[in-house]
Amino acid sequence: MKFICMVHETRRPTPEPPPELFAAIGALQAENTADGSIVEVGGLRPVQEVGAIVTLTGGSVSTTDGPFVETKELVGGYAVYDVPDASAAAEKSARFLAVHQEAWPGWEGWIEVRAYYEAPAP
Amino acid sequence: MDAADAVEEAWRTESPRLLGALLRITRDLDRAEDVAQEALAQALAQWPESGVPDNPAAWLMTTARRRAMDLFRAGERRQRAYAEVAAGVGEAVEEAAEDAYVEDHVEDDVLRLMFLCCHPSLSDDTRTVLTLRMVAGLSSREIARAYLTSESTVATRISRAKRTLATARAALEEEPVGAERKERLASVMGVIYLLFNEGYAATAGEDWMRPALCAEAVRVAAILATVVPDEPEAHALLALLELQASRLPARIDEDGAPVLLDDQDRSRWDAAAISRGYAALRIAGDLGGDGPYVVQAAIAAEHARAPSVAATDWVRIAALYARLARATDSAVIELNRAVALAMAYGAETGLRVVDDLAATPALAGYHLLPAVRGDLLARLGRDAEAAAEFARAAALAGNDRERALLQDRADRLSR
Repeated sequence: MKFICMVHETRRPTPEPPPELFAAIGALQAENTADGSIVEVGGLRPVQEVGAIVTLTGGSVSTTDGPFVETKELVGGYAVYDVPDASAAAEKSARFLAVHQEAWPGWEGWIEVRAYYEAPAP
Repeated sequence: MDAADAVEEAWRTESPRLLGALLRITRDLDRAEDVAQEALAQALAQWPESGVPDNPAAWLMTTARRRAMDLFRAGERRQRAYAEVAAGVGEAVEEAAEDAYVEDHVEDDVLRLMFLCCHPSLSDDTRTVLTLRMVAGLSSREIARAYLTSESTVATRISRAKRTLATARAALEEEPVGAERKERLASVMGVIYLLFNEGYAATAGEDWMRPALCAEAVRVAAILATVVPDEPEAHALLALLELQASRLPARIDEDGAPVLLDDQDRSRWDAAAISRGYAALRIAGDLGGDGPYVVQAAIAAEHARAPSVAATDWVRIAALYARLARATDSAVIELNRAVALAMAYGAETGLRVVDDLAATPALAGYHLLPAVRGDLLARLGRDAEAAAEFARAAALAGNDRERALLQDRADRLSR
């Protein structure tokens, strides 16, 4: 089953992540490559830097590109896993957060784990 | 998933960790492998009955460790072997076997296994075969199929390699540090790179590519990146292989004939592999990497980013090749730089570099030199010369598919 796990950042203790974090994330990613569970992975620039929120509400479409976003950074990055079930995807996400906890003290955030709709087997 | 599949999957993902830890205990590659195989056999016998354990890897490790201890305790017949095992098991029995996977040195174990497989006393070919067997967990039959040779040849080669290593006492070596560690690491990366290249453009045989070999190389590169997470080159190597592998689906047509970059349908490039490649390259960069694999991955990323050959940033690629050529002093890289230069600044510019290269002995017998020269001459309208170069390249090509392609170009130009 495919899951997309989106990383929401709520607290960033330092402007730049420490290099240890890159090594730790890299190792995690490599591990997921080795066992074949990772499909796709990417980082997202902050929405207030580049990006927009397009809304349909009250019968009209509006686009906001300004700094009117409640959270500081909506989604920092994402990963798509192909794993047997939701708990496995949650486990992957927990490990991702654990790595942050260890390598970037003070960082806070949460990961949204969402399953893909998949065509039923023919 | 049935039990047999579960055993196979556990073996594929866990064998390097298992063998690495057992190597530490038994201090001998053969014995480590025997014990691991016994654990595997036991899993095949028990899992269908008892169900697949929650943590198959830990189960295998516990079982294998118990076997190693039994070996240690058993009679005197193989006393000498036990004396050696004893040194390793003494410490191992102290620890609970279940802890094997949370031990700090599990990663060191895998790295030691990789170092051992790429020991300087072995030839490059033997190193790749041993890496496929020990680190990628392929059977002799799978390796034989990949290298188009017989199973017995592979088995002989592996057992000879093990003898060489046993004589060199390599298994007992302390893990290399400092400059030697860097050197051994480079050798490990070199072997993974060779492995991939062998899959990407086979040196012999009917087929142009053997994608399964590429996939194994990517997997082993990923394992390496987990065991040396601070090493930017390891992440860059993984990035390079992912990005190169992303083009595999577009590189052959339905009949198995090669499709060159110009003619590839880019929508068939593997977008997921590209995304993983970018991510790994970004990590290498964030770790401060600027070594040869970082540069090569950057080149591969330029191709991945470009919507077409014409829209490719050849100027940047030529500059990256120049950086690479300075760092490595390789004629093959210089040849690639010539191609990029030709794309960026015109065929004549490229041809000048190629002509200089033709005089260097390093590339004598390398079929891609006349192939590139032929291509540039053809673009300049010098058809007769180009045809001769393609014919020369065809005669030098190692695999049948590539030979056919080059001969075809020679024929069409001489018409």
